[in-house]
Amino acid sequence: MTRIWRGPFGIAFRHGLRLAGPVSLFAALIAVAVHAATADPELAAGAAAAASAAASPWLTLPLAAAALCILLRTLQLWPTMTLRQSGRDAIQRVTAARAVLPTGGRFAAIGGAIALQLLLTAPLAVALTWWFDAPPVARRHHVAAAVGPPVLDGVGQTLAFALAAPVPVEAIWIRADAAIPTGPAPTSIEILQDGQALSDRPLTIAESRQLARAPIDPGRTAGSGMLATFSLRHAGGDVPLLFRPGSVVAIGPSDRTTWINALMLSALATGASAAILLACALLGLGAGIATVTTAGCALWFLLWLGSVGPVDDAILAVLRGRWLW
Amino acid sequence: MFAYRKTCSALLMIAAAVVVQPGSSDLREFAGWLLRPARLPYAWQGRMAAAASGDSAEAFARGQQIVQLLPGWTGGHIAFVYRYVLQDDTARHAADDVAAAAERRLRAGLLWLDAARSDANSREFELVESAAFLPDIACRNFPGLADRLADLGGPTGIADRYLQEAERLSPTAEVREMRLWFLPKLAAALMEAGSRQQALQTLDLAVRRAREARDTELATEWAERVTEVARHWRGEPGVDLAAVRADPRFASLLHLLR
Repeated sequence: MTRIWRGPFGIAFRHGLRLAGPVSLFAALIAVAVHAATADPELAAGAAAAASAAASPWLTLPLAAAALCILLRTLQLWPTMTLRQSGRDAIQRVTAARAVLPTGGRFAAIGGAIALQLLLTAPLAVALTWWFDAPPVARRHHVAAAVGPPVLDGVGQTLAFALAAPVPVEAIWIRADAAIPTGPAPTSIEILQDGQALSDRPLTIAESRQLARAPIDPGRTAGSGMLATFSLRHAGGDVPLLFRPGSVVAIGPSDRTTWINALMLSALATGASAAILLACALLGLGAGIATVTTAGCALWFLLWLGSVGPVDDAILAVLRGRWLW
Repeated sequence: MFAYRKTCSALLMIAAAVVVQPGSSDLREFAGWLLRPARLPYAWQGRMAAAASGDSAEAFARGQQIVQLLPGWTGGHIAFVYRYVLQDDTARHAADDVAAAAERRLRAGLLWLDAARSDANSREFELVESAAFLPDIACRNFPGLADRLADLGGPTGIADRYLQEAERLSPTAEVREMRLWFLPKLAAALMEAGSRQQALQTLDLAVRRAREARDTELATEWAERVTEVARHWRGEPGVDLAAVRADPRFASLLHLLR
């Protein structure tokens, strides 16, 4: 244990903590202060949980700051991460003689960096999701796939949907695309299973991407709350609807706690950082510190600010109360 | 040399702060200049994401973040508020719950439009005009909402107050006529609420103000119809209401002309 702590793992962890600890805490304070100064109290009084996803930039800020600090510190600190670093040759000679796999301590340094990121971001993610009024419980979202042409454009038409497996369902959310209306009336949609309506009232859809949510009465489902297939019936109206993949989602019960969801978010972000560090280590076999740092920062930018990869979506999911797993 | 320059710069900055004495709003504006270019693209991206996969409350909150960066953008304020108030994407199904949620959204939206007026400068009129029409549109979308606005005078009472304010802000013929054509609807609302005397006074006001309208022929004919309604409500015998009943501009009064 002492050897690990005094080796590249421990060095990357300790040195990274000295930079990333204060920076990420400062970023968290900034995020909390800006959120408090800009959140609208009128909306917060009535729809705080619903609007908590709007705080996603303030949750992103400290997590991204921690990831960047740890990335830069690791690249700068451990000599074998890039070419022409002072001490690189000595470390490679030592590890070539002693290690089974002579990686020059790169993997251990990356291990220390990602352990630090997990340790820093996990409590930050849990605390900030609570502070930003994220829904206290998370729900599983199951995307339903249309069976047949995904269009409803005439009264009485029915379109079947199937889930991957029978799951407990408490609501169905629809976000269909609307074509040019043929008249003034919005389209009414009934949700049926074996011809029986699963919801009290039909949903009405008037425009494209309009979110329509129907609570499902478990007593009306064939499998006492479990649902594997259902259908949507055009009950009237003049707006033709197109159902793209992902536009019909079955919502599971609220039986998952958000703090575990926040922990999974920090694990996901840490995994993405590990991938960036591994890519940098690979690039560092043939490039110097400036090139590798630039490449690492570009990947960090794409991941955290460019919405490329899973992190952006995961932050939104946690703040919207959608279970990540 | 370098230290000398630094000291001079610091002294000049302090002198500038002492001379100008910036207030908190100046500092906020200065911070806004610095933050806007970095924050705005992401705020807009977040707004688009909320419209595509979030709900209306989230989209409104994201819209608020954008207009906080651009407080003078009246079109943004209006668009975000209208979308928030008129879109019901909750899972509520009971009519009372839907109306209660609509009332909460409408009150929040009107407050937001009122608050935005302080930054609108010459475009304040647009915010007031939009606030005037919003309650009526919302009441058409959500049954039961009009009853919940009784303490504010109903949708027509709210609209009339905002139109008066619009007329004060922009005393042009267009705005005066906008309120003029609206007055019979206000009279109908007052009549429905049992305020017969006020309804008649409103119709008399409409007849008087019709003389100031630009299209004299249109205004004269319209004033004749209004006069017929007023005479009918006063209980005068022999009033012929056939022309009023045939005029779609008076459709909101028909149920009060029996």
